[in-house]
Amino acid sequence: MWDRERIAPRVRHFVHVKAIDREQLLVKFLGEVVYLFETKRFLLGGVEGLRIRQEYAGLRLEALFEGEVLSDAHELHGDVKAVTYHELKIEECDGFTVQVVVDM
Amino acid sequence: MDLTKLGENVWEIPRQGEMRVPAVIYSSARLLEDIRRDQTLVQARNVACLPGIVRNAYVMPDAHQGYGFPIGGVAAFDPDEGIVSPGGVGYDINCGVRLLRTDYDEADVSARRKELLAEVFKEVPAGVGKGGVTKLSRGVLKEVLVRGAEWAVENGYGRAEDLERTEERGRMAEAAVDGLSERALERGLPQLGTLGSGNHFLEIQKVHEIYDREAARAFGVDRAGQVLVMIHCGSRGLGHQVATDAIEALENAFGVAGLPDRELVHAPFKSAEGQRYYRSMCAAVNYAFANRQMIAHWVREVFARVLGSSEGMDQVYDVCHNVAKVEEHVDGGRSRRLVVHRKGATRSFGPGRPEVPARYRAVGQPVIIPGSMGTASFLLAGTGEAEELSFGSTAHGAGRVMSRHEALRRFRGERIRDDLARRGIELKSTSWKGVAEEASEAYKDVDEVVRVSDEVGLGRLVAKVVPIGVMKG
Repeated sequence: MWDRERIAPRVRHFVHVKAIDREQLLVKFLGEVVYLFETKRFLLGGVEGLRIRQEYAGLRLEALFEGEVLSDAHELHGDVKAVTYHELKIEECDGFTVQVVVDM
Repeated sequence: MDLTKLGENVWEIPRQGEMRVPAVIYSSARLLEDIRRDQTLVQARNVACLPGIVRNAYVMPDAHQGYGFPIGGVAAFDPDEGIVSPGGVGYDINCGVRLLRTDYDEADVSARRKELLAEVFKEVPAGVGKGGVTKLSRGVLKEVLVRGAEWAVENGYGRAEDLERTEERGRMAEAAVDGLSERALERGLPQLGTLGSGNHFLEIQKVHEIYDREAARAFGVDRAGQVLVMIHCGSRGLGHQVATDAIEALENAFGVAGLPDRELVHAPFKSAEGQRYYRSMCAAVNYAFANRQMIAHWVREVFARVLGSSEGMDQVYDVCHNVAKVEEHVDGGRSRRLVVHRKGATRSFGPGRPEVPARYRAVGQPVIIPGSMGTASFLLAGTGEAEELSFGSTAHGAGRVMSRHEALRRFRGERIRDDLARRGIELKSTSWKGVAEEASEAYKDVDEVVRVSDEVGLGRLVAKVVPIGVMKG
């Protein structure tokens, strides 16, 4: 994990995710952050152009991740290795509130 | 939840509702207080509802809430009518522990322990985002996934005799790589030969007390003060990706309706989806065996360089504590093959089992139970009774009682380092926050966990070891 506020939009990754329902969509969306960190050393700073569409077989999400590549200037804390369904909650309340437990 | 007391340290959730079998909990009244504080018992009841479960769902003395199955959970399934579940193995597939003995005494190491630990810290990559020193091609990674520790030994990491002292001889033969996603491979490529972070550690230890001289001697542990090395880590990002991919694939294939918890998603063991997960899981198991094999090799090199020799540094054993395996067990008077899931539980096979290395077959397999950071760890021997009691399984460690967040709020890493130093324990870590999260106060009392294991008969106490140097990722 890292302080998102300190990450500038220097590098971009286009992300698209398909899922059977919104819980799986959330887990897979966050899973993209884990994957990009571990394989591209990408630190997410912000998300642009997030779009979620209903499709015949479920949901589809598209977004642009903006951030930086890990360097000595960044401080890391804790290693998120997986996104779980444990006590996962998605609540609609003037927008959405979600609760996700990650494995460290 | 109402429990029936079946005996000293043995409790039962009787069969009720959709439970196909009862759930049996091995715990003292004291440990049960911790177990009752979280969802462990509800999760054990959920496991008891799964198709094809045989005899009982079991909960080990160090149990705490996990994802889907409890950590410290053991469940066996009929291979024809039963299931396999990634939630029954966990995300860190073949997280496990390797123990090396040495000919050194504490006195030989004491004066050099700072240097020794610093060198180990230099040689063994650890910490968040830290890649390995080994540059692998995809082809070689696939070989690692199929051949496990065998690949490592053939490529100069360690000794041939290490293999016979590793569970499964360091290789699960059912492994297949064609079910692994590109992402799993990508995550696995840079991380082979790395310790990782979180609760993973490498400790230089000394024998504190021996309880069973015969078994200890068989394991190469001769005397108090003898120096040992313990390595605790797993299959890194690759194993996590295998689990993540399998959960999604099983959800897509079988749906999520009717599951009490989505982390309990499962497939019939013999189905295409079940076999794909099982064989991919075996590949991740092999990756973890190779990982610990490489780290053990580097530790031996450091000892040879700093102290002059690594000759007596034989491997005592290497155990998995997150795994599913097809094993032969006697059930209802007949021997049958079962798919045994151990999640945060250690195999504890007793004397005579063919899976136990010949050199240990008279006393039972070594069972390695690490404590929390800076506290004691234990060496046990597997028992024949454990087969009856828990399909040959016991606890795997201390078990968490406090969240990382709470630990971070209460403790400071630097302070823990100073406290340990006062007790003669050297600590090196890539992250002081990580150290705070792993404070020993955040864990159960491992002494109580192994006492219950021993009293119930899940594993026989052999020796207690304490750290003199701790490396944390």
